[in-house]
Amino acid sequence: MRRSHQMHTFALLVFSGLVVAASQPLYAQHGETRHDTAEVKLSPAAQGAVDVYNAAGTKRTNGSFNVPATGVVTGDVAVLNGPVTIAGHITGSLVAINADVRLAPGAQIDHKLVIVGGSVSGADAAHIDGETLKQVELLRYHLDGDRLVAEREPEYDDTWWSRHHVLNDLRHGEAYTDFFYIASRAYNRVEGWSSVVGPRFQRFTDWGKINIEAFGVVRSASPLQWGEQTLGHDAKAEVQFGKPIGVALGARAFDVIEPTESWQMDNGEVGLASVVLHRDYRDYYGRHGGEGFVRFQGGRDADLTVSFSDQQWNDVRQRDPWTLFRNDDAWRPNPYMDTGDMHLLTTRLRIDTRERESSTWSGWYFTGEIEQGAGQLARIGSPLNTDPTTGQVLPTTAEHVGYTRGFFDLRRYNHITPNMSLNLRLVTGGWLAGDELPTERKLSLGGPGTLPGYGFRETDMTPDVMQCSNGVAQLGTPGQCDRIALVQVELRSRFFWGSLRDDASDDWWRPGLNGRLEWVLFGDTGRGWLVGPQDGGVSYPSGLLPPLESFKTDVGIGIDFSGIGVYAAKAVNDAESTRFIVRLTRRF
Amino acid sequence: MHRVAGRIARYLAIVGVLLLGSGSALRAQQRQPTLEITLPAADQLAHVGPLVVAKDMLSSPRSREPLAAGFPARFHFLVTLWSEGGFLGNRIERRAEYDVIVSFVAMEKTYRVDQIVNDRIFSLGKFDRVEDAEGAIARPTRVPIVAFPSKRPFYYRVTLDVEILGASDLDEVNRWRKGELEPAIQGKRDPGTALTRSLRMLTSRVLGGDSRHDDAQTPVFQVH
Repeated sequence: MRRSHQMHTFALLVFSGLVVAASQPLYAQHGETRHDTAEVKLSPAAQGAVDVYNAAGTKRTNGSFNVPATGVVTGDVAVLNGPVTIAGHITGSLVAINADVRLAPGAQIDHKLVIVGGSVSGADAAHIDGETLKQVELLRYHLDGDRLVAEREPEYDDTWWSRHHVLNDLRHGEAYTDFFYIASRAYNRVEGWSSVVGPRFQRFTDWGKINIEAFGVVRSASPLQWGEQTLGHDAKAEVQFGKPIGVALGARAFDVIEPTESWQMDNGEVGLASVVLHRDYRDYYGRHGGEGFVRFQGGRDADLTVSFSDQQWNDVRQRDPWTLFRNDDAWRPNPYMDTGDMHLLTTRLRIDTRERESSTWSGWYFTGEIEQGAGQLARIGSPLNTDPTTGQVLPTTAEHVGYTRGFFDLRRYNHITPNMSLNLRLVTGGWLAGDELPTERKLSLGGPGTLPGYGFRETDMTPDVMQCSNGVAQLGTPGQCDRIALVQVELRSRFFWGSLRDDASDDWWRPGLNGRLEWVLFGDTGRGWLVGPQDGGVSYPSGLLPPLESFKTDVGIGIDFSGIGVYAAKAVNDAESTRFIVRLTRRF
Repeated sequence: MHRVAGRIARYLAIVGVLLLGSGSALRAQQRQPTLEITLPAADQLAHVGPLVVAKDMLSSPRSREPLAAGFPARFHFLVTLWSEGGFLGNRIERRAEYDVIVSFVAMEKTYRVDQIVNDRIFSLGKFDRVEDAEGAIARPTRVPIVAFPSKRPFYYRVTLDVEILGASDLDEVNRWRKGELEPAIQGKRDPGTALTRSLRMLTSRVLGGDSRHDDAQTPVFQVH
């Protein structure tokens, strides 16, 4: 336990170092001298417009202004926002501020025509006796009584802690009160369609934020019954002090079905693959208990959460929820999971300096988690505790378990040219100290989310460096690796084919091209292993990384339709056939 | 999944090619939303920022119908100044964001257009006709992020995310205008709706929907 404490301290130091490292480019980019000129220097057109507007005797209008062909307006006219339509006669000047002007043939303006922040049409067929002054950009102003006061352009504080979106998200955020809120969770073979139902409340105050949710969980998979198979709960109360940087304190009570490896694919993808294709890319266990947490919030870009929870882990069996295709097929069995009572101390760090999540340009993304677990577990998920011929669980007694596990996902998004990106991802995690990891915390690779050139949960490889099955077949082929490492690289760029754009106004052809097409070249390499005496297969001592030549690699190509991507991937090391994959989100 | 995915991919490819071919001909006859960003004059590069224009943004019935039904549209502009040639690729030197919110005021039967910069509303007017509201969205906006003397070349980039806001967002917009509440017009979806959100995303992207993304950039330039 002392060793695991040291590991935890070490991990926190690594976290701190990564925070500093990730922040360096941000600080560096603000080191050069800036030359903003925020003086209110009006162009001749804008100055002329302001002068006419503020002059005594000017007829002022905000909004639509029309002079019919027979109409005559005496004196100067100033219009805000418009539109302005002139077919008749203005005996003075016409000023249009942030307005478009349409001049009909025969329209007459005896003095100046001044247009600021708008366009003019029909000027050639109109009679304008004075000069015409134009300023393309709109004029910022406020009204002080009848007087128009021009304003300087807004200044932007783009230091990283003051970014607009950070302020907006945390100062404004999303306030809501719903007495009957309902939301669906990812469709899966254990719960079917499950939803959370209940009241929720969130308010942003001068000093921070309050968030309360009290949801019941309802699961649709048959048989429906009044019990934990069909019903659960997920309730949370959280108070945040300070914004956008602050400290949040909260508590949560839960009785939910939890996936074991949610990092590989997005909830939406897993849910759709389950409900449409009868393929569930996750395994599940029951989690029932409560936790308290403290979160140090650093705007939208970073947070550090430390939580302590007391929870009961349960084994759950797959059921037979409806699917669109292959409804008569059997589901992949949900692997047996270890059961018992656990105390978990978890530290999570998230840093996200990306410009945008959906269409990333550049920046860092890092999530890291250190979990220390201790409790009494019956290891029914272990392959040694099942009958190799029948797959049935053998009688198992609970034993004390104490472990430390880490999981880290580091990504860097780079714009190497204006339209081309080179993106890198390193994922590594697994056992750090203590007893063997519970089945709920073991890992695997292979499949669309990690190494798409290799199949998901396929164990025909020797040695099995994807699931670390070590030749022991187990129900549902669970991930059994103590550690994994995965590196993903992708080069993506636009096609530069204007004809493929879908920003058009047409309604009927819209084959998923709401943004721009990108081609993607990618490569992935990774493997999993067990921690133990080196056996020349999947087991390596704690301090040793498996040789790089033992890593599995794939390469591929794809087209990304602004998020939805079609990819072909081919394994490099093995004689696997080319696999075609559809992803509903970016690969990473 | 892979075999089925392969079939779906082939089907999508065939349908895509057919639709792209037929779509191109039609597209030429219609107005298209256009996003432009232009550099200031060469002698002004170190003094003023680029000019951003978003034209014909409501030219599609798909954009207009939700508006007329009472759902506001949010046009979120993010303008960035990039420099080329860093160790980790190009990097962002400066950035600015602003929004344009268009909403239909049913009582007055007018379209209201507001620009929001640094959390402050600047009214671009109320209009009877949607074409005039479209003109207000297209007001050229000078973005005050300015390049500085450097050995590195620069370019500006603008991205535009168009989103039809939901009913709860509409409430927030209205209350915000009345000064009752701080705004929450982030266009975010309810958390936890994994399946419905993904279905909505799929519908939005495959069939066309309530969000659109566009971007544009200037040529590369230098400031000495």
